[in-house]
Amino acid sequence: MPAKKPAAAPVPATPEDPAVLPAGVSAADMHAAIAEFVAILGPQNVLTDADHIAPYTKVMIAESEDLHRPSAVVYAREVSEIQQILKVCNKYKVPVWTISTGRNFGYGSAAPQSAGQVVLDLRHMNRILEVDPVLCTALVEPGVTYQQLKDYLEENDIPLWLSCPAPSAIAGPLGNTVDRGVGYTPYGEHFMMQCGMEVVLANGDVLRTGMGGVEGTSAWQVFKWGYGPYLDGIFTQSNYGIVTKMGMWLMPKPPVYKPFCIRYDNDEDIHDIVETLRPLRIANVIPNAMVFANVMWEAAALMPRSKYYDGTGVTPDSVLEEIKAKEGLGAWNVYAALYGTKEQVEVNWQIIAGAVKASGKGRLITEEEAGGTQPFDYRAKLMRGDMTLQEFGLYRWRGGGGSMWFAPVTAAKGSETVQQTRLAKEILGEYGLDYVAEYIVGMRDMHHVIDVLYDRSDPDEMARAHECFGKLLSEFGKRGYAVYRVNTAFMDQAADLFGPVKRKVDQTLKRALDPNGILAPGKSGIRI
Amino acid sequence: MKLRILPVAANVGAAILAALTLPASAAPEAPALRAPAGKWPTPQVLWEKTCARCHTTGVGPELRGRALPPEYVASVVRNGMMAMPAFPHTSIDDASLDGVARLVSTSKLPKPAAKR
Ligand SMILES: Cc1cc2nc3c(=O)[nH]c(=O)nc-3n(C[C@H](O)[C@H](O)[C@H](O)COP(=O)(O)OP(=O)(O)OC[C@H]3O[C@@H](n4cnc5c(N)ncnc54)[C@H](O)[C@@H]3O)c2cc1C
Repeated sequence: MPAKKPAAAPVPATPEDPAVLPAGVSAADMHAAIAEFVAILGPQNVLTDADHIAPYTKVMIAESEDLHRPSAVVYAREVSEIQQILKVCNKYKVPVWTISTGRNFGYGSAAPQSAGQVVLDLRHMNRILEVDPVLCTALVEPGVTYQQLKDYLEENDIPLWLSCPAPSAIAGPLGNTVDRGVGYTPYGEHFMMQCGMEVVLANGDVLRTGMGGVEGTSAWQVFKWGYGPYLDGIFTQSNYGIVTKMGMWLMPKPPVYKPFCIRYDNDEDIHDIVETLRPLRIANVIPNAMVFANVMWEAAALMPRSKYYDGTGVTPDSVLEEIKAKEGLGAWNVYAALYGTKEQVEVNWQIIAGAVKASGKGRLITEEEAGGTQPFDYRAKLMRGDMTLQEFGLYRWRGGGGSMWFAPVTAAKGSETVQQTRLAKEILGEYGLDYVAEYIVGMRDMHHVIDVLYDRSDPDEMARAHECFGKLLSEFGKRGYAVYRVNTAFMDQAADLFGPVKRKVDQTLKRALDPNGILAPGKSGIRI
Repeated sequence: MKLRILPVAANVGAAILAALTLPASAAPEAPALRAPAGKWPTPQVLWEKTCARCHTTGVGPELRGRALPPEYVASVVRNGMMAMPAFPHTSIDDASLDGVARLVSTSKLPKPAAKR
């Protein structure tokens, strides 16, 4: 069907003055900065009107949009444009919040940490610069989406697999990786599989990390460390530069792929799950970032909780028991997969089956049994880096569109999961919120990912969710637990958990690399 | 080794050949095509690759066969609604949004009702 005419009004030649200003910037300076942005980018790439700003203001976190409303959105297509934008930002001290694909749902979405920051949307920088089918590497720009990369590999018959976060169909590898996101394949720890970056610094310098600075190098995407201090880490979860290219490793498509599930009936089984499966993960018998999802996470993939419970507050245990029985779900549901030749997969399957049997609990479920049903299908997709949005089902559980990920790091020990699970449930319960959780298993750690779900249309519930999240951070912190990543409303509180010296070093780097503090102030609690 | 963006129908042989014949250390700025972000080839492709992933799977509400006004659909896409993300112009440009909004508005519910 041909599109007739655009739905919205055309962009005016000169953008209107922004409705919000960044802290400490006068209206006159902002006006001048906007005029200079227009001179660099053209008016169609500098936007201040409500229609264009609205999508960058939508958040799921428990704070008013007004605290995170951008003053303007600018689109850049070239590194040289970013360099010129930064010159203007330095001149007028205008802060700029960079997004790549801008799908950071439950961590702040596309909105800046504080109101008035200019969003630099790099979605138009979307070239797949290189895919090397021999070395299994790619070099991409920030605006490349997983869907785009997947289509490219398929259209060109390149047998490589991606590793994606759950909203794979609309997110992108660069943004996800620089925020140290995770996926579900053997390459699920994305930053570990990242190799080489190009970064525009606040002063306009363009840094290539790793081997990237060596003229004529063929090793930028194959050797991570380069020479001297390894720098890539300081450009993740930070505000020290704008990443404009990123190298990554891709996984060869295995001849055989065998996703499977293991169901456990009781809440306390989480202890034995960890003890049974950790050795298999460390020994690479189970090579992927497997997950242990609890009953509510599973049930949300199927239905709203109103199917079984139309009350408010915490979902009663009796209801969860009923759901488990009637829907055939476990208290904990393990999703893992095997990858390799037929022989390799067969051997490893026998080892796993033996370990599960020896542990005396857990029911193995294969694709032959569960294929074609949810949540098995979407889990199978995620463990092979395929496109899905099925996990958005989480939001129909209670409704209202509120979500914040509380994701403390756990050492992969059964005793620790028992303690963390108990504590999280207790605190969430105080606020009438559900423990909807999964553990995503790393090499030796686990991300204990809890979706703090609440009704964002109910101001009282939103306030409770906000308070609850603060308490989760502080109570976990008292016991030596801290998160792997956090949303824009709680970045300072999370930063405090890592100690004053870490904060001071973060700030020292900030002052050295971005003396005017123009890059994403507040990201990870870092400001000049 | 460098692979340029190949035409849609390129096959394995062509891809590997391209990889083998291009210089090993070409500068990364070498020309790969940049597709304008937000511009979709057809409303149907946009529907399938984005909207349908929630709206035909039971995750989001069924939209087909409801004669929803296109302006309403467009407004929800731009602003988001509850858990539905907002889509900026760089994900879905105005022309593509117009197209998909009409597609949704005039769609019929397929005979065998959408499965989960
Ligand atoms: C149902 C659901 C499931 C989810 N599951 C997962 C999951 O499995 N794993 C996971 O990791 N996340 C998950 N998320 C969270 C989030 O949606 C993803 O992490 C997503 O990939 C992040 O958005 P993005 O890729 O578009 O990155 P962006 O939003 O573009 O970037 C993320 C952040 O990185 C920084 N940044 C981005 N680009 C640059 C740049 N060029 N230079 C410097 N800094 C930059 C910014 O601070 C930005 O806010 C989930 C969310 C939902 C709603």
